[in-house]
Amino acid sequence: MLNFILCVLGLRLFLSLAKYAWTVVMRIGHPRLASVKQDFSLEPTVSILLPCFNEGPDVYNSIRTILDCDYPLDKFQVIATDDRSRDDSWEWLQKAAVDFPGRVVARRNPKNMGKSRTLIDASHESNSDIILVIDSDCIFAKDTIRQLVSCFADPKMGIVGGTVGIRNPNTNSLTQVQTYVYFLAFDLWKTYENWTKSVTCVGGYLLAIRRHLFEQIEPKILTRNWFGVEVVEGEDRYITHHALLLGYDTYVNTKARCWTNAPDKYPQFFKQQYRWRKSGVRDLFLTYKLLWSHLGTVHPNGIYCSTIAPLTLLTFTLGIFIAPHFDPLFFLHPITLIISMAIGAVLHLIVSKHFPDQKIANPLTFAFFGFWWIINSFYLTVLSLLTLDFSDWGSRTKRRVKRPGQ
Amino acid sequence: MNLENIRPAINSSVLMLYRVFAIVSLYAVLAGVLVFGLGSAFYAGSKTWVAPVILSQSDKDTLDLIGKTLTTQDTVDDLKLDIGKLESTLAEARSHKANLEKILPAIDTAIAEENRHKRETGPVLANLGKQKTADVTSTQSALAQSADVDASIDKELAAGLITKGDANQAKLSFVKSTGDLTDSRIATTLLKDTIWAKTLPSMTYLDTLHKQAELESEIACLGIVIDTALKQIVTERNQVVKLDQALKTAKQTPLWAAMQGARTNVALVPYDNQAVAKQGAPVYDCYLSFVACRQVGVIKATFVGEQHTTHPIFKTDLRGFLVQLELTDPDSAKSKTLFVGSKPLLF
Repeated sequence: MLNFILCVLGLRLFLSLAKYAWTVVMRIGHPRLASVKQDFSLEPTVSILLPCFNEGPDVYNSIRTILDCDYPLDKFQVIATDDRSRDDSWEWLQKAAVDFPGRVVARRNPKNMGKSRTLIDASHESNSDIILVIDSDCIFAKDTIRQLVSCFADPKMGIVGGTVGIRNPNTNSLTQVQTYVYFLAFDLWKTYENWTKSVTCVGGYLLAIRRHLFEQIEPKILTRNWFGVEVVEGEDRYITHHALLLGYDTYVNTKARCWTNAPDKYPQFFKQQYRWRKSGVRDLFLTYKLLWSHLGTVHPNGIYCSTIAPLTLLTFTLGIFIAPHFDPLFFLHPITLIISMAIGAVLHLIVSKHFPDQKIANPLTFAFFGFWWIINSFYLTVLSLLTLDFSDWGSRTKRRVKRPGQ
Repeated sequence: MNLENIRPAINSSVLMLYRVFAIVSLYAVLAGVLVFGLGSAFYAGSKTWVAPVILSQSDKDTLDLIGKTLTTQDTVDDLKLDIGKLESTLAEARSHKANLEKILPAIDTAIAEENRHKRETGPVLANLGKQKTADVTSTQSALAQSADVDASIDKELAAGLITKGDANQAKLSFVKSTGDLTDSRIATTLLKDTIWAKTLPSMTYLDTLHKQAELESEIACLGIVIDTALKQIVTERNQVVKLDQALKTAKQTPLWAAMQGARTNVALVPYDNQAVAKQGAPVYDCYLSFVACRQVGVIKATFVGEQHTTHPIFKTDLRGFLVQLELTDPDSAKSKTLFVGSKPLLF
């Protein structure tokens, strides 16, 4: 059994190294391999769906940056929905609707309904060609919308995402680590999946989807359940997955950038990571359930990314589970620290050079990533596997009250 | 029956089973993490735990020790035998040397006596030789002067001056004197030999000196043999002492105890916990790692010498020394850890 696990872990390591090596080759030497045809003359109408829950004034700032985009004013609108926040978010939305008349629609759910349902209801308020889903605390670059819609030149393109940076990279060690993780996730991992236009998860922080495709998937979103228990989280991964199953391409345009606030408190961070991991676990089950449908529809690389990679992660989780039996202090091993520091040093150099706004003050905090990675891989995976019958958004529940004008 | 009609029931059943499994698993994981955390904290702070080890004759280390012990014992026996031989040789050499050393003065005395005798008789004989030579010369001269005596006797006989009997008597006397002269000459020659023997070193004397030299050489060689034997005996005795000490030390190890019996229960005492490891100290075993404990024996003996093993909990290298356990419950030796002195948590 142990040998089997070690073999799987070795295979996983080999595949990961090959994947990253190929990603680096594409990023540095052959960027066109991981890019799509863009047409910047495209100007479809865009509805920006902004679900909001306990965001406070951040949602107003977010709306303001969106409206500063260089996209034709008559071609896009913001539909902001308050999901019954317990703070003053609704008042900030109303203020935005007043300050930007005709361009911002402020809505409020009759009760807390979750992000999925909020998005669907909000989408019914518009008839634009493209639906752009964003997080309520996101701020945009000026060309973000144009970068996104330009990728829809190919009619086979179903979903386009962007990359997200951290607005608060130097708040504390937690946000510093997340800065690196976000860079790894969006600028490396997504690049590999971009290669075959089969990104398995376009993040809900910035997800542009053709309206008709969204409408096709909508019934499935509404009926998502885990043996009868409604599922409310991970709609971005779910939507992306079904877009792939319907034969569409999915893509992340790394030039379409936005920034979000990373959790700076451990409970908040834990809940966010837990939610993400749980949606990944759900997606793995969905993949195996519909595995036959993938064949011939989804690119083999997409199938690999949806099946093998998460499966080896589960094996890795098992490896961590049994590791204490052989070496309980393995996570304190100098090699763990050294590898973390080495990866951190490389990432720090790259991030500092290419993304100055993401430069962090103390790169040594990356050592912390090694420990978090173990906790994330083991405990969160196990917790996710065993709590699939439980849905909770989690990371935005803190009540913050700051009235507009204050 | 339509599947959709029974789907809620199926979902409900699956969900219930899943929830039961999930709750049990989550609590198991949680309990595992808590136990691991508490256990780690406990063993990091505890000063009374020891790590039991079961030794038997078939253990690799025990077999190694048996081989080494036998080899060492053989070496000791060989050395002792060799020492015995050397001591016999030494005694014989000493006796022989003593005997030879007794002869040597006798030879010296004999030579000295002989030399003294020569010194005394040599000159006397030389003088006598000279005198004898002079006597012979005188006799020879006298006989030469009497060369014509025979003719005179004949003339006197013819002249009738002497009788025939007197003539014969006179002639016999002359012949006798001539014979005496010859005897004297012979005696003189023999005397010269004697004088030569008495005044010059003789072959016998040289032979004696040669034998004396040989004797002294032999005595010297025996001295060397004796010295060498003595040194070798000292060296080998030291070696025997060292090997005996090594064997004695080996006999103080638990592996020796394992050699003597079918199974020996020992425990490695980490240096951090050495204060509790005293002969006769009670040993406790716990049903749940470090709770629900009972006494299962005592420490029978402590052994010197550092030993290494793997930390039973943290799996790191653990340094310490061994103690022999006298267990009333032999199965306790199979526990991951035991506790010495007192129960770790008072129950």
